[in-house]
Amino acid sequence: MSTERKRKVSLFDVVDEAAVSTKLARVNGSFTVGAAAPLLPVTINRWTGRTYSQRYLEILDKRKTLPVWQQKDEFLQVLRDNQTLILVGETGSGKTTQIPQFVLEADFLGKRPMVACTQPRRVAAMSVSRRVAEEMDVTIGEEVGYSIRFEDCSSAKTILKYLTDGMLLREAMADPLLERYKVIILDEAHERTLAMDVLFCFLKEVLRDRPDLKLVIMSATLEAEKFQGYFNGAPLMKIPGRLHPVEIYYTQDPERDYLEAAIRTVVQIHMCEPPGDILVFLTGEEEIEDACWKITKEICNLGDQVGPIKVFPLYSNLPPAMQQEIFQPAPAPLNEDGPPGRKIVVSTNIAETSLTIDGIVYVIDPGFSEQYVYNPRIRAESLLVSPISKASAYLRSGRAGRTQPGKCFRLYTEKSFNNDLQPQTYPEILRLNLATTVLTLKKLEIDDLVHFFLDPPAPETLMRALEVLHYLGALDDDGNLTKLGEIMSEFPLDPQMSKMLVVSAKFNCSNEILSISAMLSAPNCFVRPREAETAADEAKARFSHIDGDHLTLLNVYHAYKQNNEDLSWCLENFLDKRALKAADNVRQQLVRIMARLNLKLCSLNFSPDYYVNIRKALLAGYFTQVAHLERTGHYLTVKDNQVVHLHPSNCLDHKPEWVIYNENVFTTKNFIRTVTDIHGEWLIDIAPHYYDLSNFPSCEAKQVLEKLYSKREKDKQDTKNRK
Amino acid sequence: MESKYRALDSSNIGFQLLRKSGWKEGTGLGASEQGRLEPIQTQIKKNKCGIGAEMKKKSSTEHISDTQKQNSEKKPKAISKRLRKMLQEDQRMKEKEFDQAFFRDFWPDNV
Repeated sequence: MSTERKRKVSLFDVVDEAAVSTKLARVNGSFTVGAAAPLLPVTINRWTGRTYSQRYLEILDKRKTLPVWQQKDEFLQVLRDNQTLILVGETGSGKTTQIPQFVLEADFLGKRPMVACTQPRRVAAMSVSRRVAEEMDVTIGEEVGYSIRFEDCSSAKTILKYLTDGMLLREAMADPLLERYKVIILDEAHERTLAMDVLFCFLKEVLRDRPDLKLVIMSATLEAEKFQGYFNGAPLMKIPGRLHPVEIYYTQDPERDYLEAAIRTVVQIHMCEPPGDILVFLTGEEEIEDACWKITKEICNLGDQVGPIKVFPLYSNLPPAMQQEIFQPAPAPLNEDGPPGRKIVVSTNIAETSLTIDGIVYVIDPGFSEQYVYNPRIRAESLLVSPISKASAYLRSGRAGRTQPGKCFRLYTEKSFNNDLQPQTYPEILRLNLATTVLTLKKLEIDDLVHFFLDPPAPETLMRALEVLHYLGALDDDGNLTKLGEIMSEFPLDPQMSKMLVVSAKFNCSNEILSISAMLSAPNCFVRPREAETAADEAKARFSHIDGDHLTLLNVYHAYKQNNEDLSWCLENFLDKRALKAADNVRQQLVRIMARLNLKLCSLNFSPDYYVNIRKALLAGYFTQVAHLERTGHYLTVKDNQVVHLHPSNCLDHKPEWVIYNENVFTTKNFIRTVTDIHGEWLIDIAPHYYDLSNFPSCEAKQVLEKLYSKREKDKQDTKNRK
Repeated sequence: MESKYRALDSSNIGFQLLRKSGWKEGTGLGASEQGRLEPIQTQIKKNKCGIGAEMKKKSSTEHISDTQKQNSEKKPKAISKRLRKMLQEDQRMKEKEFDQAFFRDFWPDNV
């Protein structure tokens, strides 16, 4: 123990030294040549001072066979001579794991330069950093770490940090010049997440103020030139992937039913093509499970004349253990001379880039994927199945050529490919709600929203973001960030939820609002297996609160804590233990933020007001998400007057006149989900500025509010007269 | 294609705030006003038609407010019994799919 502590102290010293030399470098305006790299053969790990393990050397040999190693020197040269560089590499080139390590070896960056490498996905940040820690022969969380929302696995020693792009943005809020980093690597830039688009524009500014900072953008082929234009002609470097040729087949005519066509194609490949695994791209969980079942059935019907198969579904909501199963090898033939076995993976577009399965030789691409699109006119998100882009189609077909030459079957005509598919997938910035983003930008002091974006969103999307932030009090009448807005921006949450947390102490229920916010931020905790739907519904009913789903979530959280987070208790009650654990973790993080901001933690003693206060606090954040029950029996959203339906998962025992909702998602119907009963009087008490009738479209809700206002006026008069 | 929903106008506080920060009505955002003017259309796909097949049949309709939908649903009496049955089946599958979708991970992945 004592030696452990000693070692830490000495390493801290090294960090300081590096900081000093960094400063010196900046003063001199040039890069110092760092400590001379030890000459070969290296046996001592430069970062830890320990001798390299045997395993390190074994892995090193394998690493050296990755395509990216052939261009290591060239890369370092370009990095030395330029501030920004764009790296184009196919998946499988090894760029995500190797490039950050090359950067660390650069001798022109100082002794202990700190490097950040962003990832669009939490899972990738975690798994890649583990892998790299192993490759560098260090402990994860020390020299190499990761940071994702609600989980920081890094320390003062960390020199290479993998983090989600959203996390880098949050770090920028506290450290606007990102001074702790010498090099920032944006990986998978072609995915164009919301946070990444903000980072592009933000980093462009930072680079101007920090000539010593270097930026590496890594992307798949197609978007690279756009980035090059944006970053004033930064040099572009290409890294070959390990791709074998892939033959592309189109259909003669458009398919009447792409699902059926996909299944038919799987069967045909299995009967007629040489060995090799199959990857099928479909849209969503239900469709994928359905397809898996049908494929198994169809091939079983063929009997012994074909080889055995294993069919695996793959989608993001699948438990990690089941996601791992797809890496199993294909089944062996039934007898020695029998037809070969085959593995068949049916996946959403997560297998397009983020998850690589070796052994795939055949790809079936029906040309659809599922994505969320926000419509600012009705403030609703839609989960849409839509045609993929040409860029996606290329990525999909590339999956067939990972281990040997492959084939890709596109279930549409070549004409459709050329005419009906758009060149690029819409980046998130064009299709998501931007309220949180705008709050972040304001906090980063980027005020020129009009000219800021690389791919600018529609004006109305930005209007909706500004509107809600103004009503929440985060922006003043000139669009500047208020004190309240600044506090709200400290939470990594939707502005509505942040507002609710900030004001919850006023309603004497910040403990409860914390629990509800945590439950809403974690994945859905209710498990509903197909074979036990009734039992699951009964279990859920035991937690139900008749006044609303938010309160039901609170009940679940309380029960979970009362039962000491017992796993078998979770199982018996059809609750997802991972989701509850995540919620608990989120809650702890939020408590820490509350403490940092000096926000009081409090609860009301159990009384009739207990739940009333919680519901009022919910409303204080979500007053823009209210629906009113019309005489016709339909709900209409306030101000937008859209017909919405209570989602069948709700636990209300009645149809309240007013409800607040957490989400408004359009699929087959326009549903509102996670709803709680509130009173009309509260609306005019808590959010009179939003329920200002001088700016309210005429509708039934307006008439009801008018009556409430005049009743309020009358009551006031009465008390005055009585006095 | 024109959207069925009314665009936001100058009565909206967000509209006013955007104008205050330098945006001119009728223009796009971006360094050279190159941004799109209209939000992305949200069209709900209600069948399993492959790409190309759908474009001809026009079977995907823009999702419109429920009152309008009721009106438009009365018109196509001419469809055959078989097709109607197929559509109903599609609808049922969609509903089921939707239920599943809601039980899916809603955790924003990238923050």
